[in-house]
Amino acid sequence: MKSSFKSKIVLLLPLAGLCLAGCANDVSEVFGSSPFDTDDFIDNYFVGRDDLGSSVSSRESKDLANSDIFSGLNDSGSYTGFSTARVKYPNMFLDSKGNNLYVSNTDSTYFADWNAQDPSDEEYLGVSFGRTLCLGKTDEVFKYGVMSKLYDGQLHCLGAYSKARVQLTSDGYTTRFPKTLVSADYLVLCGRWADNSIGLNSNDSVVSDITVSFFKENGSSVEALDVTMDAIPFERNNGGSSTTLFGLKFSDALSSYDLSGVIGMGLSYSNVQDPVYTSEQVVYSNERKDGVINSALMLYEVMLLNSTWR
Amino acid sequence: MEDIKEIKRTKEANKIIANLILVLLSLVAFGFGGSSYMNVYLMFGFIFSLAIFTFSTEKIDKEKTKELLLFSIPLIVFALFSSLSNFWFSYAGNSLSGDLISFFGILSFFLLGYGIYRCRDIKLSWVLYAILGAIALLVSISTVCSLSRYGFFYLIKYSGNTYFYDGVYYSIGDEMELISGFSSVKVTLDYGNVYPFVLCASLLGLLFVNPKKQPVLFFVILGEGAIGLLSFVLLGDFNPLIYLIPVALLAGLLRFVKLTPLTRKTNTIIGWSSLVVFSLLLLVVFVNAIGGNYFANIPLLNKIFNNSLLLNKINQIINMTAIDYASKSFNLLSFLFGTSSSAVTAWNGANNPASLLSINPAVMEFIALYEGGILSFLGLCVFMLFVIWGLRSLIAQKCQVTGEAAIIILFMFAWVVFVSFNSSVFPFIREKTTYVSPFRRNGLFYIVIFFAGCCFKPFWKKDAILAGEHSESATDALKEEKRNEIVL
Repeated sequence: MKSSFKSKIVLLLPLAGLCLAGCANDVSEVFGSSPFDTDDFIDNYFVGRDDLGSSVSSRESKDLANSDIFSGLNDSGSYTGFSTARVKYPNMFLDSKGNNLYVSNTDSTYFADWNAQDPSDEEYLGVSFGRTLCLGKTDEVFKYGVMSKLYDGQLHCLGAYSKARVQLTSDGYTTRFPKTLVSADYLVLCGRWADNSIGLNSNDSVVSDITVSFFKENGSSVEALDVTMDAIPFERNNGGSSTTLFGLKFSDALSSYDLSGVIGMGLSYSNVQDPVYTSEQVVYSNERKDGVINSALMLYEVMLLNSTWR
Repeated sequence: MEDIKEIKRTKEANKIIANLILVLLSLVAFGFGGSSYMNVYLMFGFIFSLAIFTFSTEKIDKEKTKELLLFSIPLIVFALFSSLSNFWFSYAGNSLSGDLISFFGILSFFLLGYGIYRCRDIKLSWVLYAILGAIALLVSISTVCSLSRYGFFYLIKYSGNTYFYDGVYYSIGDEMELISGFSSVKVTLDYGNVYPFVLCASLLGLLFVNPKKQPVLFFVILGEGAIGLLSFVLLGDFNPLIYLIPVALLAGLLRFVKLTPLTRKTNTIIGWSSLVVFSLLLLVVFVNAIGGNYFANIPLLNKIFNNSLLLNKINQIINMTAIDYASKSFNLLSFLFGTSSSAVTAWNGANNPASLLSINPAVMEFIALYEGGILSFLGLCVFMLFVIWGLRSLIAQKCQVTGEAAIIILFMFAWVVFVSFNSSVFPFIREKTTYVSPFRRNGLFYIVIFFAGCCFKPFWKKDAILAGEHSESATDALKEEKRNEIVL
């Protein structure tokens, strides 16, 4: 009787192994050979991943005053975006031990921004603002999947080109977080503007309204809060290091909104004011139109500083 | 009375050591705890190798010790130069104690293999069960981990696909899971495949095992080998099976071609001629790589020596070891004691200097060259020749190969063939700059060295190769053969 039981166990073990082997639990995040990373601008739009937007049952909107947010351009030699934010919210750039974190060699004496192509963390943690406080370092779950491009702490291009950024149409993106948010102190975003005019009209400033959506689950439905930050300045086609750092402090800008229970986030943009192209000329989408310039917001990073998750 | 008690105690100690050695071999083969634990295993290997001789009731034969020392000279040279080298001294995080442990570890496992027959309580088949069983367990767990991510045949199904991790996309078809330390990590196929490959090779040893006479050996090896084969099939990874062809050829040669003892003259002719041809070929490769592309204007030779994928890597490694990149001059120190871990080369006038990371050296023998210098390289090559020649003379002497011996020979041969083409020194997909040597703290290498110790045969002795001579030494050889029966 005993040996029969044992033999059944022995037979079950490989079966259990095979069942486990058949899970194939990573196939939902499979992409082509070079996802969003081709030589053709139009093929790199981040589309087809609308997780939450379509299931929203009620929506609230809030337009933020300029005093509620921080924003600033960074380009070679003038990292005002970071310094403006540092002046307004000095605590934002502190790690858990109270050490100051940096983002560039003009913001500090140390060039500290992390590059996703360099897998070594050692020299960046505790020094680099992006890599130390990014969502990927807050919780390991944020490292999985394509959205990890926005959670890895890389605030500049640093030679990684389309590997580093997410190229957005005006519809932007929505995503479900791998965990539910409990609390956070700051929302920090980093991006720049680009189009496929190839070398023409570079270094121009573009201004756009950015809408960030927060999603909460209420039973089977989803409630959204759209927060719009007006007239955020960006530089167009001025290289991957010319990014804009912008965002808000939740306790200042959204003091009445309870972040606990936020399951996802989205970002879109509107009211683009381009000094060169009129809205008829520029297509803010991945829809190919011959002879028309395609343009996009290149989003590098989404950070929820000092966030806790469940 | 006291003597009987002493013998009894020695036998008990011998039994305990025998079991501990089996456990040690399993742990090393599995790589339990990862590379950081390997140093501990090497130290235990050193202790056990001494213990085998300490607790043995047999006296140590001075003649045999001398033979062992002579046979081991190339291995000692390799161990010394590959462990205490410029490469490891310049390697970040390395320590002198690690170098010394590596040196003594290599010699200990060879001595352990040589002395294993002194443990009367160990059967060679048990050693095989322990080693192959541990590898089979490692392969089973790793295969299940790999399949749990993308399902069966994922290497074929998702060969052109990618996934994202920490902001970077990785190719699904280029990686597999492998248990390393106490977690599963993503490694290159070249690195992970060596484990199922040696299991598959041991499967060929079944040609030498009679299932009626040795049913346990037959079915255990069948089961363990099948796990290796199943791993390749379920993952959809069939490319490594190409390297089984030379292993299968060797198995067929040993099994179906009757090996007769050679006369000394034939033996000498074959030995020296193959050595001369091989040495000349090596010399040409070295001169071409150090001097700088002498065959550029000879299309055929240019294609062979400069543009083949493997020789291009070899040329770059030799050039990196011998030529200082900054001064473009011959660097004797680096050539003798190994290159710096951060060395680069611009072989064949390359615009951008190539580092180890970009060369991705794949040839085990030439990894020994840059890790330990020319003496380490020669030591390894000569030791491999000693083992081959010793085995050849032993097989010729006995005119047959037992099942256990065949499995050991095929295991060693399979490992050498595989890592001579597919070594992966930067195997971790997500930690691209982490260097992993095919020698240092590498469990399979120590197992192969252990097996080499099992196969020890002083091939230079007349009685080992002469046919039809019934001299006194031949009678000694027969006595020795009986002692070696436990081993081979």
